[in-house]
Amino acid sequence: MKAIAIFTSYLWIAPTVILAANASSLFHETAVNREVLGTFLKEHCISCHGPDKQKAKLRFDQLDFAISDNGEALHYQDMLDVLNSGEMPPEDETQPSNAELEGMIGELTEGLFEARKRLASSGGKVEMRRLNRREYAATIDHLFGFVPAASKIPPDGDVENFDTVGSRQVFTTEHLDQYYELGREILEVGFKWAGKKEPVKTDRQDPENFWTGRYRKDIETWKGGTGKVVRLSKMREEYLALPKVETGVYLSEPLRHLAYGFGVDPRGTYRLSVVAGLEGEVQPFRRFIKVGGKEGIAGVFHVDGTTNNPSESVAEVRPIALKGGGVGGHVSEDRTGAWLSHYLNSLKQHQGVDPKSEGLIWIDSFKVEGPFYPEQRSFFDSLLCPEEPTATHPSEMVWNDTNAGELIARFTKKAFRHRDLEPAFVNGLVSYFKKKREKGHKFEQAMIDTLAVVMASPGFVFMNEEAGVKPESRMLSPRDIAIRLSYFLTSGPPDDELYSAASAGSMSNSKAYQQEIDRILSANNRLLAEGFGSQWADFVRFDSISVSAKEFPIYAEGLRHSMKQEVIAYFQTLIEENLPISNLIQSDFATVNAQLATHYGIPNVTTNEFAKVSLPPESPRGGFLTQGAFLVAGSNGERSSPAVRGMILMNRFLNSPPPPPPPNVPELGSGAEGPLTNRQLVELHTSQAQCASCHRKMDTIGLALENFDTIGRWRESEKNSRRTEEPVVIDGVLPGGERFTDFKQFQNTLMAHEEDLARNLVESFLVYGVGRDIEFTDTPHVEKIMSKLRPNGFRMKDMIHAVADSPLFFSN
Amino acid sequence: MSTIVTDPISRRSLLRQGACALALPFLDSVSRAAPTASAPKRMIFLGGGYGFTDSYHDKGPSFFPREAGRFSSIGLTKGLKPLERHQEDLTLISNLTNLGVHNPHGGSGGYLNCGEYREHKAGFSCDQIAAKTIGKDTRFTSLVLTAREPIPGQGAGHGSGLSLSADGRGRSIPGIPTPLGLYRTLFAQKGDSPEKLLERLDNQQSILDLVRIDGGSVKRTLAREDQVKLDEYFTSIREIELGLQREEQWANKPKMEASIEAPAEGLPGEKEIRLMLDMLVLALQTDMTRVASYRLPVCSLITSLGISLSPHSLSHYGFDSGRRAASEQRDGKLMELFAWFLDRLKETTDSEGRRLYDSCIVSYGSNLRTGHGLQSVPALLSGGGAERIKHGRHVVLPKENTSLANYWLTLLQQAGVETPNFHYSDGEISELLA
Repeated sequence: MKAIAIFTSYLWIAPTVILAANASSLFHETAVNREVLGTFLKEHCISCHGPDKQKAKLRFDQLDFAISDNGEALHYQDMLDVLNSGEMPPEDETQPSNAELEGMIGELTEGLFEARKRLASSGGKVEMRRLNRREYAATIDHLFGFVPAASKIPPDGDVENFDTVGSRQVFTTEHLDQYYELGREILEVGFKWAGKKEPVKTDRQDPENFWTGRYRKDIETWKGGTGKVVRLSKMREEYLALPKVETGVYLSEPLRHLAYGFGVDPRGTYRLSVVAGLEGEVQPFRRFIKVGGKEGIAGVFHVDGTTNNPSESVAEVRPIALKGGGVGGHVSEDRTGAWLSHYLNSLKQHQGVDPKSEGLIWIDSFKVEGPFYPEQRSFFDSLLCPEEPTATHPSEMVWNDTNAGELIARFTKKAFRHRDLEPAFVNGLVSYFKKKREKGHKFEQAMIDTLAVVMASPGFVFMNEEAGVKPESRMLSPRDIAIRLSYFLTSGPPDDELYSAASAGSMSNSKAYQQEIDRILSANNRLLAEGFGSQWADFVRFDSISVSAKEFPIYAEGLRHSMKQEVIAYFQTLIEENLPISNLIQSDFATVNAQLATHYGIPNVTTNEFAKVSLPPESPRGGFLTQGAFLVAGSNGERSSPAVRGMILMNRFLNSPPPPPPPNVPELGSGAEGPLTNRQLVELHTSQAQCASCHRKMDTIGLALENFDTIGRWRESEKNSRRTEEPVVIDGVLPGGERFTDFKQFQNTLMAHEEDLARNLVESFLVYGVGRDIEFTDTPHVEKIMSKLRPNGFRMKDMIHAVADSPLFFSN
Repeated sequence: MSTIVTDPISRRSLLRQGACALALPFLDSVSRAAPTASAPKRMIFLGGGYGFTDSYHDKGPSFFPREAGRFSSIGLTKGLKPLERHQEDLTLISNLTNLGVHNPHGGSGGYLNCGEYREHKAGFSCDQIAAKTIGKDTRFTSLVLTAREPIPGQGAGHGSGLSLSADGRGRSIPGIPTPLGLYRTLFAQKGDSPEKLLERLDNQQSILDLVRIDGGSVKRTLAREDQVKLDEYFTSIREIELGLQREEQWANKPKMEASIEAPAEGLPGEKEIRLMLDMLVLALQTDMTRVASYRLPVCSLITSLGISLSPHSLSHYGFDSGRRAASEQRDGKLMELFAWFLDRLKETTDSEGRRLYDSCIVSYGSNLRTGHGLQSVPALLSGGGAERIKHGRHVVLPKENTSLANYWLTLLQQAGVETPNFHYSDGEISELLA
């Protein structure tokens, strides 16, 4: 990377440079390379925009090559725009060479990218924000013991990096309305189940009782028919000729899936279990069934038994709490295509599988068991009905018109995260409740309407951190620190222990504070692994990639689900075992279930749960870069995308995000014949100066991962656009100049950049935990965390502790 | 926040008095606004998302014609073909650019308000300016229609924002995102009586009064900068109140009974668009509104066409013939839907028997031309409401990157909105005017 300014070069060189220079004005000023710009301007621009002529009233001979305010940024932006769109220099003038143009555009693009970041500095102020979807769900879970469907929660809007950053959030009329209505629905469910406890029930289905008879009847009904029914009858006859239709069912051509559904208590979990086996020879990647429905995937089950010796798999599922709730879904083979025959034909074309020799998955039985309740009842449940209920004796609600005010006050205090209550507000709520009662509303309905107001109020919806006695210090109160810490680690509000610890002064006692962090993380590290990991790994991008089912028939819903679970399990492992973050670059283990192990070619993994497994030495897997979620996100759904993979790598692993794509760059290929391979595509990308200024770096790095195909499988050769195989060639250099010629070597060169990855993670955790972008002025704090972690090799749990213990975490 | 009256009782009673004192325009049974001597002007803005397919390097044009002139002599491109029956009622303008938009994935954000440009801050979108004048006497000053995309706005090609429209601070207006939402807005709900409606409005007002008290106490504890942030919350309260006041004014004039079943949720894209446009025609016909914007769904439309590519991948069709074919298929469908909407406007008459089409100014477009290109955006215009604009041609403006703000200014003036400029516009587009 060419030096734009000393402050950008620290990413690659010694971090001490920045600590030495501390003049605050410099934090806002971005220097652009005088030599590159000056030479280009002199050669190509100044004859028309200089001392002699000032066409369009512009002259460039007096620039000071520093961007220190928005006005100056605009001048440089104008320059960049006309170069990107090819407007300047005019056609009848001498044109710059590609290399000159690329250098100039690159310099301007990066300079402006830096300048914008500096100029947008908020001065380190955390902007107040509302709870995001994730936090809202966790907060409701904490208060009520159940979760609403994510789709019901007001959306977060545009999230650039992490969903905790308030400066990009908006609040509109729609939000206020939605929070109120959603609050009512949640309270209705809360009232409905309060004080009740359902006995554990088991519901076992033997699906053949329905299907086998049904198919016999179909054949009878359609006898003598013509057209479509002939084909359907034949399909059923073939089905009934299968060996075990009297004791189970086959996931097959006529029977695509088994549907299930039951109404349930949303506060409990239910166990879904499937007993299944294989009939005949079934390809290893086909031995998976997917169970799930509107709640998402409940589980991907490995079928490793036979019809004579079937195996049982179990998944836990939590019902959706609100209207139309309950549990419902399907049990099906994890595959693509509407009909099994279509799928098998695609497999023939793309996997070389012979459809005729392929067997089927046989299901013996399907069972639902539950509800299983958590040890402790929820706040709301025990508030309404304090006495512990049993399956035979429900507990009574203790509230009525005479003590309704106390109920309202206690609910509000908890919902407002222990903030001191404003009497006018509580009194207002009480009179609102009374008015409703006077109008003839039932107690329960009047109370639901009243408490829903609380759930639409700023005290609940917003993370409102108090200014305190010394607003200029921006120090958080112990209560606000506890809230921030809890949302950082669990996405939800503090538990009673953490509130007490805050009152007891533990937030300013380093040892007690660290103990609280350990206590919370050891109880549950999944919420942090998922909340942070899913965003660091950019699941939004992953989800938005639509992989062509024709080209990649095995890329089914269950496999997609498994890929995301792998990332979460990986972060959990890093936290739990406090492993060095360099594992993300390269590790001797993976966190996989049977399905991903099959996909990755890791032997001897048969579990449905994600587990840490050691990798055989010859395996190319290990580390985030070899995980499906990253590799698929780095594709465009048809082919792997070195540009996207390179972009993610530069952003996360080199902590040097490339600038966003400029507008008005001519589309690639408008004048060229389609390239054959990804490498040729990259060459095309870099032949145009406007693209090359960034893509030369990004794409070259991304090419290092070409041994992984669109859906993350290892490959030695690549199918080109004429459908012939070409060997994958790895040969590139990192921006620092290190050359690599295979994937392992690439991983090794990245290891030398471990600091960049660590810095990116520290900054990401800070953004996620504090709720604002990390700016140049924060560098000393980031460096302090870095030096704290360096001696022990940047370990994950240490990092979480250090971030939560940084002065940045204690101020807003 | 001086606009907020803090005593709820006095405000509400004032509101009541106001509602009585305010002479409501004459209304017939379906709550039309007062009839005017000549047909009122109506403005409809459609579009958003990624642009259209560009020319082939070796063959001919795909969507955008290369020549200027009358369609009857230059002919229609492949992409515009579905509009053939309307070609004499259609204008395509080239060389317009939305100068305030720089996001190469943002076809919709800032489209109708032209974004932030140099020292100019973002403000009202042009439909909202029209709403304040030509829309002021109808039940809904405007209808802001949109769709929620399953993937973030960048990926769908919208950029930031929730709809094409923006309020006075340039913030996106959430809009009505589903046919069901529009259905509930336009038609009377079962058992709705003026008394019940007033009671409901009263209840909503009480809720707002309560949350405002909490807002006030939260605000007192906050740092100064955060107080500003909380103003967004207060603004939302205020906006809801203004809506309530308007509903209260119209409470005695019942909404019309629905003539169709309540639409289902999650309809396939094409069906969703047709239903939204159909209800929009009805709203215009019965004069419930005279101004509307609609940000069309991108993801569900291309899915309903059987295209499995993401909208962003589709926008980079490049040299891939499969993608290019899919991109052209989408263009064709969008123009087919646009042509169908014009059919509907032409076959529908208002209460005085006048053709709806003749009073409408209908615009279709986006910030993005094709790929990542923000220059010379697609701008299609139809409707007889702009009397000085003679349709039937492709106009190539002499100045490259003519500001889209000038275009909106021209349309506003044609609709009879008396305004000397629109944000940073520097004059109307004379080439469009006969």
